[in-house]
Amino acid sequence: MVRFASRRLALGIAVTATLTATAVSAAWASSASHASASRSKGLTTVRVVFDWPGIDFEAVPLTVGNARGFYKKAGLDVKIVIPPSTSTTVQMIAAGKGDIGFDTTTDVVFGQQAGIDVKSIANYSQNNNWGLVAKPGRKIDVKKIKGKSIGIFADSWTKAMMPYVLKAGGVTASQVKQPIFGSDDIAPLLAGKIDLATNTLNYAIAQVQSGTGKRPSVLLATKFGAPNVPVWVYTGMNSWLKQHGSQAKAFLSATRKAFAWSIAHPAAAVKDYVKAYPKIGGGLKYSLDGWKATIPALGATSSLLTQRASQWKQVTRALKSVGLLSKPLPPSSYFTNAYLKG
Amino acid sequence: MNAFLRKTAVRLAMAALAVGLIFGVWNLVIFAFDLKAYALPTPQDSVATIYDRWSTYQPLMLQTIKETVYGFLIGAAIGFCLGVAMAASKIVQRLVYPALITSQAVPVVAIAAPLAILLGFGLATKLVIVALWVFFPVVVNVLDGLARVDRDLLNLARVMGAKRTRAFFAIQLPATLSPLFSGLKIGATYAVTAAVIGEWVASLPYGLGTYLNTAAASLDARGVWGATILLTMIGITLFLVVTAVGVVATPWERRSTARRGIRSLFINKQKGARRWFGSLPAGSRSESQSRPR
Repeated sequence: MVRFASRRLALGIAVTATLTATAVSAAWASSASHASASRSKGLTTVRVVFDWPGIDFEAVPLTVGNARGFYKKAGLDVKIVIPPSTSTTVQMIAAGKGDIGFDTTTDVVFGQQAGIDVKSIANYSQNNNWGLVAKPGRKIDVKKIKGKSIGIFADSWTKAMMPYVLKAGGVTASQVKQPIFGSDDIAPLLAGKIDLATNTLNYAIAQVQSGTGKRPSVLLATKFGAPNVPVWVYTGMNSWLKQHGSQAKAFLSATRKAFAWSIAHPAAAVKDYVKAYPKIGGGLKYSLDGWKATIPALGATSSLLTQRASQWKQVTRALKSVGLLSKPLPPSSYFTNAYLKG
Repeated sequence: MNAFLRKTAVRLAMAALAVGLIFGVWNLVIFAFDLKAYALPTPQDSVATIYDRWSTYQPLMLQTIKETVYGFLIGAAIGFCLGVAMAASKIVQRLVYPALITSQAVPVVAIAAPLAILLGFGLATKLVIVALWVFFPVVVNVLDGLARVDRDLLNLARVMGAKRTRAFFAIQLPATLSPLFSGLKIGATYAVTAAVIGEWVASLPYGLGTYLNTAAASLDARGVWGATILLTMIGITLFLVVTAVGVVATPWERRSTARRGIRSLFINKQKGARRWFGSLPAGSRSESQSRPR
């Protein structure tokens, strides 16, 4: 019996050792194959990690930057890296799998809270375009949400914004149904499974318009007291920024030009994007609707990408009020405009 | 009894050692690659998180267990019935089998969203997704088990006057049990993953899968791994329960004598045979004909 047990033990150890060796060598091989930024065709490659596991129209300025030569003039070849999930962009740049991140503002705050030395280097949008969405033709009255079902996502932005919805409606969380959807709450809304959806309005409008041909009813959260702060920012690790400051500056300078061009020529910009990613879902109409709906959130051309200290104060205050953040840091810990100069 | 206790103690020790080894490898990977806590917390931290946040985890875990177990039972029942129906009728088999294979080839994620729209974001959607993952290995194994039943034994039973239903319960059903439990064990390991996917698509009330998403969105790696350990434990527990039921249901796999019902088939006693098959044909009454061994 003992002999039998020892043989099984030896076999178990041998199997475990083999598995460990395999896992360790696979991880080494994986890390070796992901070397940091490189040069190709005389251009420096900058890897931008997207915020979503699939590319969409928010990547229009980056693809325009490449297609219209803004990055080439700056000596850069910008490559978009798609993350495996909606919450891994910060982790990927922290692990050196990308150079610049495209994140939600809240991701920077949570990254810092988790001990990741990440910093926001530019705003993507200037305004908070998150809000409530209803079927086309339906009026949204935030004061009459008691007992209704409101589709939400699991992300931290939604969690930070929902208290403003509840406060405006004069209800507690238990007085409304809040089903969490993984990737889409617009289809259940159109199917009548929920009364209202929450979303950033550029995505909601694009989805509803491409699905029904009609514009949905929308109500921006800023209309009922939510802070008007940017949803998305470009980020970098402090360590990378210190070593590659000139690259970061060149990237943002070219990106600003690409933004201005994409705003001025939305149809051509989206065509560039669709040409770069011909196999994406949604197609030209969806992407054009989405990009056109994104433009109002980008703010005035004169202030493109520029961050404000007040936006970080408002975001951290909102996160603290819902218990997602214990100790807000000073705004300068979260952002810098230094790479927008020059 | 002593031998039994010793055997149990050795098995428990081996299981504890296996868990220790997994935790050891986990720590080793963190150390070797200098992984930070935001990427992969240590198993000790993850277990401590479960303790710290038990009041949060508990209701979520109960919800996920409910989805997993109910979905598993529904999937197993459907799988078993389909397997039997397909074995009983070649037409049904030819009609249904391609559909079954297609159902497994379609990515669940693709049909999950329409399911949520069709059935809502409550329990029903999750049950369908779990059942969809569980039923297939059960169907395949039951079908396989029924196909391998000894034809001679069935013929013998028929010669002895057994009706089709009686032969099914006395011979075919016991023969499917071993492959059935193999299918159920596979299904048990799939069930939790399926429940999590169901929760990711749409969820109210929330479960551990929903928590995984919300914790990940806040870069709360400890929360994510605490929930992951609990989900793993649900899967392992379900697997062990199925294994235990399998041990009880298939004693012939561990002992040389057959179950009483089957044994009575082979015993040349008119009374015993009558108990199973009703009236016996005249030719079956001789000892040489009815005793197969």
